[in-house]
Amino acid sequence: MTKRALPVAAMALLLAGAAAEAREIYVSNEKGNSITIIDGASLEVSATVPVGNRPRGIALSPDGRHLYICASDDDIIQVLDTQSRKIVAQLPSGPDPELLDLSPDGSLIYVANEDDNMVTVVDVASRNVVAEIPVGVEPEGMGVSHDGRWVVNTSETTNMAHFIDSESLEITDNVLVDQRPRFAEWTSDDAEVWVSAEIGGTVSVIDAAARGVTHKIAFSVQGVPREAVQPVGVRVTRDRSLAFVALGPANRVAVVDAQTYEVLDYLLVGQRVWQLAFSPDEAFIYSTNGVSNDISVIDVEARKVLRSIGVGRFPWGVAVRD
Amino acid sequence: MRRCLCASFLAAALLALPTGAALGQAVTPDWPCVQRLVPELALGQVWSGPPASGHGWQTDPETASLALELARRKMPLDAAGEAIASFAAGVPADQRAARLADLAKGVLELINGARADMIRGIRRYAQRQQALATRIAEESHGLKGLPPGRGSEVPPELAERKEQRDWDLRVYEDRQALLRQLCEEPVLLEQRAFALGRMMAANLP
Repeated sequence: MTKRALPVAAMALLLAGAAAEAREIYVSNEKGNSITIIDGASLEVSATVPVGNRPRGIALSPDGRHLYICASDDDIIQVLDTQSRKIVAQLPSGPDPELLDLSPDGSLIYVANEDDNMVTVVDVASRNVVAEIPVGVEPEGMGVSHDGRWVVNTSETTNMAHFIDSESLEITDNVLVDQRPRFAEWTSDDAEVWVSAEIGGTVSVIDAAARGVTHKIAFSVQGVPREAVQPVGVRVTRDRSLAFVALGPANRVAVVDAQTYEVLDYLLVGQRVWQLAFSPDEAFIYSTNGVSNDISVIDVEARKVLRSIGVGRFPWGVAVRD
Repeated sequence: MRRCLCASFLAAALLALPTGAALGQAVTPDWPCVQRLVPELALGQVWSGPPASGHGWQTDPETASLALELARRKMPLDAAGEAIASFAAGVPADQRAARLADLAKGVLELINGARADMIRGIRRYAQRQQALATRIAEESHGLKGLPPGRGSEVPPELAERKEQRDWDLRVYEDRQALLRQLCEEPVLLEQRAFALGRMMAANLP
């Protein structure tokens, strides 16, 4: 890859977001025990990096230099240097880390420990666990508000979204949602939290200030039985015009009007669609498709699936940087 | 390892191994595979094109014959793509969408039939494994009640029954390896159904 040969100054310019060809898409392969790196311009796989066992949730540091990887079966978070494409460090995670999210400044990582009913807070600089917060049974979804003030964790068995005060590190509110909540997505203005429920088949929209569910979005896909419609990953555009919801074994991504909460379309992507990530300019959204072993590239404005890209076995998490 | 009759092995064997929980999935009783049980695929999971014509895909010989070919895994996916493209090219544009929808429906029905047979077979196989695991446990328990003999001398009955138990264990382990392979089959067909649906959609007008 020519990019590696670029001088440092030129690389800094690229990282500043000027050049579209610098875009890279990172995909964790749950069974492949690897991270697939895709060139965002050519949409070709540029590298496959072996990582720890059962990589699931992934997230980029705010500067895009590091990719944090939940190596679920190794009980650690691995740190991938996105320039050298090597694992350069590991962080403690607590047992069975599944999903993680970062504080806005990137100094803290919040990890859902599925087997341990805990949220672990890790200080990136010191590589230490600074807190373990008891939550409901089988914690899964993790979402930090954009102002860093609140952390929402969802627990699969307790069917709740827990609001955690990031200063006191205590739960202040619990909001009941539908069965098996999987994912928590804050809107860019921190006014709402969208929580998917895999078995419930819905997305609950929570008023973040009032701590109550204000809308419940249900999905009905023609030709797909209700039990196969299992919402997992959720993403909302920064302007809150559209939301995208991955519907698991329905193999569809629902497109939702994020103002009226009406479902506009169901896009057929790949099999067992799991997580979603926007490109930084929100022109595209990418879905991981666990059974068809690929990701789909969706044109956000046109609401069309452009193509699929084969990756490793059981793609799970996805993150994108420019 | 093969000859080692450790307690953990037997414990695992007797649990009959519905290991979906290892992947964070709800465990389906009597399903022995780590892969999630998907009993049947719905058309909407592989096809988002127009609805089928309603005439029945079997009524058109060309559609029926191609559906049969596509559903069989003998035909590589590359060849399947070419066959679908050739089929679509031979249909007038105004009928193409409906004919492709019929083809998609036919392929899915055939694949669903093949998958149902596979799933039944896997369940039967797992039940036989369960019975064999129970027998091994009984044999092992019985060995404990036999006199061990003196010094290096092993009484003939003990030697014979131990040999039988070890043989059963070996058979069990070999079949367990085969079961793991069998468990991949419904997923492979599920993947094929989706891949074919995608190819058909690519030929929609």
